[in-house]
Amino acid sequence: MKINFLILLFFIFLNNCGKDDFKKSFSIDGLRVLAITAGKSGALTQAEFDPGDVVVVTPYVSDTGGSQIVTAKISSCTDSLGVDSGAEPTCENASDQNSSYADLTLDTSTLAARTGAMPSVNVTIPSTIYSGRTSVDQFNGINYLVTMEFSTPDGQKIKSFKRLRATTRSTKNQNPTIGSILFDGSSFTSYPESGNFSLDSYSQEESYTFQDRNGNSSTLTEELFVSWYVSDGEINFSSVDPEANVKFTSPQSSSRESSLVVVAVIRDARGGMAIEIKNVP
Amino acid sequence: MKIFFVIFINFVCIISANAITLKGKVLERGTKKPLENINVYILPLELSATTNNQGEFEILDVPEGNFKWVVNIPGYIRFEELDDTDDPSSIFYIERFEYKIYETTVTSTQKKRDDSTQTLTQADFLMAPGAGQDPIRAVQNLTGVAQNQSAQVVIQGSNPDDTGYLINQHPVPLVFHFDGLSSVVFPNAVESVDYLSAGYGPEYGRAIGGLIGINTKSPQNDRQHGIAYLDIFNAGVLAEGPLTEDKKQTYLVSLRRSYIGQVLSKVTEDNEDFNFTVAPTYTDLTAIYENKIDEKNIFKLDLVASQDELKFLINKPINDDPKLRGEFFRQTQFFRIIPKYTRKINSHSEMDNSFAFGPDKILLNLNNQKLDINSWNFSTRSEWRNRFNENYKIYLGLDSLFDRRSVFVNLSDVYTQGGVSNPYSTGEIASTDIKSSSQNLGFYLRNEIKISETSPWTFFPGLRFDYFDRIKEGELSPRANLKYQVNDSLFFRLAAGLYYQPPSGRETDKNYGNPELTSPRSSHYTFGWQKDFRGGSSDGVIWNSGIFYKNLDRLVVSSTALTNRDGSQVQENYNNQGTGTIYGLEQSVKWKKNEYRLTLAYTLLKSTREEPSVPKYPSEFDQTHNLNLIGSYERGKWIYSTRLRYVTGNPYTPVESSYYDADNNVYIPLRGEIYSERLGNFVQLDFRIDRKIVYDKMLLYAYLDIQNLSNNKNEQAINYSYDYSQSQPTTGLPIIPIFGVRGEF
Repeated sequence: MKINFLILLFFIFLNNCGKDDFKKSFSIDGLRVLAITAGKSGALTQAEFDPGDVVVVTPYVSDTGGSQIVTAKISSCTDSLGVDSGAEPTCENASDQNSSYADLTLDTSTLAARTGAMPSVNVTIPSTIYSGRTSVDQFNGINYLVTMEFSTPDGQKIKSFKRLRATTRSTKNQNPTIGSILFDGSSFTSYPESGNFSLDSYSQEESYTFQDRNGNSSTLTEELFVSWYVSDGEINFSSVDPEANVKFTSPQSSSRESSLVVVAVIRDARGGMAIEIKNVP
Repeated sequence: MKIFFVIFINFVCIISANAITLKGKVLERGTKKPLENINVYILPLELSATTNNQGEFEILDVPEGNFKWVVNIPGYIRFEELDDTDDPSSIFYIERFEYKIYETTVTSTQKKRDDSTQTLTQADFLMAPGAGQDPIRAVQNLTGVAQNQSAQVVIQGSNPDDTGYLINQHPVPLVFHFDGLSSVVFPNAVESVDYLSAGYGPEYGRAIGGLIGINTKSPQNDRQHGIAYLDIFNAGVLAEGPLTEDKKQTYLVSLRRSYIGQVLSKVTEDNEDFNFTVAPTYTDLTAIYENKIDEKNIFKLDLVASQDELKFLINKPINDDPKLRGEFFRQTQFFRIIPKYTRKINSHSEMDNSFAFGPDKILLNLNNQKLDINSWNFSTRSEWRNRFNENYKIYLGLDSLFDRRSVFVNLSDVYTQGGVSNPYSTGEIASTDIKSSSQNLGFYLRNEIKISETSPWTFFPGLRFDYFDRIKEGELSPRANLKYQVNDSLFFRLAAGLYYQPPSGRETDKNYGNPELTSPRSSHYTFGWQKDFRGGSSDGVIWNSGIFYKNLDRLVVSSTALTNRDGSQVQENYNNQGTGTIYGLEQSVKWKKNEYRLTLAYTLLKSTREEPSVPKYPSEFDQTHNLNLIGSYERGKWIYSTRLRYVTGNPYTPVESSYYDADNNVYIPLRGEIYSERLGNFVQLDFRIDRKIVYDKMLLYAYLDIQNLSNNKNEQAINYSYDYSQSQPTTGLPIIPIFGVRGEF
């Protein structure tokens, strides 16, 4: 099964070498959800939690080409069936669904380049989240899902979710940090010509302990990756190693937008993330 | 008296001084086959000699001077050559009027135990249009075999994993190299390929769909033979012949290597998204030794080795999936040593004993996430056949497989349903490092019963018992076949049986599978007939027709439910709640007249599956219509062949929307009804020209094989934008001309 899957990916990959007319994942256009950060209340750098912890969840959105009001409907539940095992990432039929959250709204016209953070929501990890689960599951983490349905008055809609991981690990994962966005190695304040974007700094990758299903422990190192977005022009990579340079191709000056938004989101694939937004005229 | 004696001596001396003994050899041009019992004439002297079994001749007392050699044999071009007695030995190469394609090595004959097996001989697959001389690709021209671009053979609407693969009746992990490019055994080392579909006999098991079996040949013992070929994808060499003077011991060695990887590397070297480093290559080696010890005892030893490698560096994540980047390496290897001893015990009884032993290796490495499976496999087969009388024959056999394996995995366990996979980054890391062993025992009994010598009925009742050690399960499989021979040109057949196959090791893994799984099961029913309209001639029509029905149950399906195991709530992962139904009609018509051949193979099929909380859906390879129309025309040194394929598009599962996974920056697809839509129909026209060039000591073939001559853009899959809001079909390969040359002697 797994072999077939990877061969299939290879096949798709080869075919992807051809041209398609799809919209590009790096392009900020219309409603986009760029990141949903989470940190323990009072210790926002902490990205893993204990049962009972209150977690501050903050979505970052962009709506450069669309409406001005973005609304997010929020729900939460324990990820009992396992999104990572194929269950649908929704709380609709969950026995412990919590839909008592107030809708979040954001007038994007109040943000520079209509890109930025929405109001935060506080989510409490249930104290019973470990109930019935194996010690290995508890150690590696039981996910508490926060589902968010973003919508705009003109009908754009994005269903999204964020995992809040409760774990018995003594050393909790920390959100990575991200420095400012550079252009050709320097900071920039105006719409750049074609060149390379990069980060001036980012946090080091953390090591963590993982238990296999037999309870055997191994030490793994997380792999950071950065997702890049631009509101105009093209970049060659949308997700890439943090040290990589991302090649930016600027449109002809006559067809440029009035400003350029560049966004970099660093993730550790363990729930931790940080975002940097750069807006230049 | 004394004077007369002196004169006589002088006369003899004079005669002896002017008469020469000429020796020679007559060989067939191109093949170097000795021509036996051929008269060689010297004109106008009207002397002649007859060749021995080595094609050698000797003519005594040929007067000095000029003369003409003449060899005139039916079926050969008349040979004439002026010569003189200065050169006392000659080799003559006599050219035939016509050479069949791949003349030197086609040796096999069709051997079938029952009519549920279709067998392609070497002659069949070497000359099959569209198959590129490949035995397994030729199988894809048969009824019931799905059009499929992968390395797996899909039989009569079954799942790809339901097909078993055999070499000399022993299981091997694969018979195709990477992506179905070529079979793992050099075609000229293959005697026949068996295709076992609905209703196959009790000799085989552990495959609820069917089996594909490659049988290697007995090396030729008449003389030394060699083959070498070269085309844009690969090259190969083969040598075979006798090892000893008495020709009882023979050998065959073949080696092939592809260089498609180097071709692709060159093509993609300017692509900044990825680089091929070793991509993709394959190598295979086949070696055969046979000793016909005496009339009753034969020993045969086969070595088969195969390796596929694919390595590339992904600079740009596939489908914007961040974990799908970095180095990708895939390696598949297997090696088998297969000794076989056949003993003819007496005039009505014989026995085969063979085993296969060797390692398998499957390695996948994606940026240091690995699947590394190493196993040692030992399979045994023994069969005793005894004909008690003209009306009753029995086959009693053992068919077992043991393996010892180590599995290391730290790959993401990606959820797939309906052919749509979640992003790789969302899968939970399935980390395991285990060593295990399994034993699959099989025993079978097959009977061949006639009521009387003249009875048109033949009954083949059989029984098979399988024990699957990993799931501690024993299963009894009754199977039966009934044949009614109306006359020499028409028979009917009816077959039914039960079939089981063990779930895979991954599916029964205690952590990532379900150790409580049982074996999937299928019951087959088939009815058909064959009518030969040729009336004893080699020209005419043979019509094969059949219907089949398969009922599947206990199929293993994915589950996201929670279950209580050992006191804890855990993912069920898999269960046995899948069921399915497959039925269809198969029609095959073969027509031949002189140099013209035409074959039509058509399958009408419906294949559905059901699983809990999912509406009944067509299976992945539910190809309603599958038509192969194959034609060839052979004239002199040219052969033209073509294949037209029309196949209903495969079902696929549409993606209706998606969920944004903020932790991994990917979108998880929300599937619509499973396999509820279809890709466009597959239409492809292939064309091939072969040209023979006959030299004295070798035959040279040049060929041009044009795949997808009509350049149809056949849809293979659906490709989606990063958030699944846009889609477009991914099409298959465009027109591909393949040029190659091949030499044989």
